[in-house]
Amino acid sequence: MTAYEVVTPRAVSPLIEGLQGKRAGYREVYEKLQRDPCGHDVGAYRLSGPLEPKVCGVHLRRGYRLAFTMQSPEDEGEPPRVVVLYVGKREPRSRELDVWTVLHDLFGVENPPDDHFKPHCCETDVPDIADAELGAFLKELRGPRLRPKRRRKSPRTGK
Amino acid sequence: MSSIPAKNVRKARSIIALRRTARRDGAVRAELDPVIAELREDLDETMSKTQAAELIGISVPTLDKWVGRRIVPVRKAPSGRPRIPRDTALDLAERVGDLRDRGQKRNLIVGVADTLQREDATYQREFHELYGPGLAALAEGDLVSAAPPESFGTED
Repeated sequence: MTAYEVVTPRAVSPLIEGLQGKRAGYREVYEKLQRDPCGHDVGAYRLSGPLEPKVCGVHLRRGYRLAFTMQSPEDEGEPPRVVVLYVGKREPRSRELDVWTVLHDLFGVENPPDDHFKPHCCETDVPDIADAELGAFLKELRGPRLRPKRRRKSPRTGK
Repeated sequence: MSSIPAKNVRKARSIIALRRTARRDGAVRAELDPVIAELREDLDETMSKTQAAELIGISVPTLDKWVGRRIVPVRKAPSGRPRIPRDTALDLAERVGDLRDRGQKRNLIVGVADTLQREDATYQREFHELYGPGLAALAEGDLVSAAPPESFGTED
């Protein structure tokens, strides 16, 4: 049974599609999020630092991570929503590629150092994000960061 | 057992009932118009897809199909959720109701949208605003389903 609508920014869709063949277990986590993002079988945990009130993380397989937040229904009869904010690989050695660094950059906040407590995502309350903040995040996603990079032509070969 | 419609939907249904009465009986029109206008102002300028679908008497997937075919315009809420303009939902519900009363059960929207696009100034304006040059920008920021593509393997 699906109780939650699981959505993602249009700019993040290609990242999800890019998980095909990676055996990262996205499909399984997606189905669990549809049922109950707070369920213990999802294993979602709260991020530490400035994103703590609004973002939870989930470990996918093979080093991939998924970040999500939640939205209450706007009207009667609508399902609550899970918003998959980002998916990517944990790359602690690469600031450019690390999923958590990218996520914090998109929110315009500092990624705190390690030693995170990782409490259960819904231990005290569900993650919650203001519409304006989500709007700013979506706007940032449309920026150059997620646009496909053009390769520069080599001055020697011209290719 | 069907659920009780949301307050907004109940109010919108009252507006439609009054509008249809006013159309049938010219004598009461002058009295009903201010009441209709007042009730209309009580409603938000947009409504959720669930509410609009309930008002028109169709399923949300059907409404999604109409939105996808650019038959029904949508506005984007700050949360990224699509919202249906109030006046569009009211117009569609009223006209679809008329067709149903005449016994038409299928292809309701094609005839209704065609008439509205030709005759209704509000509908035309909404289309111009929403599906004019700003459409690409509007669509770019949307939230879309996060479902994995069909091609994903069981372990993906």
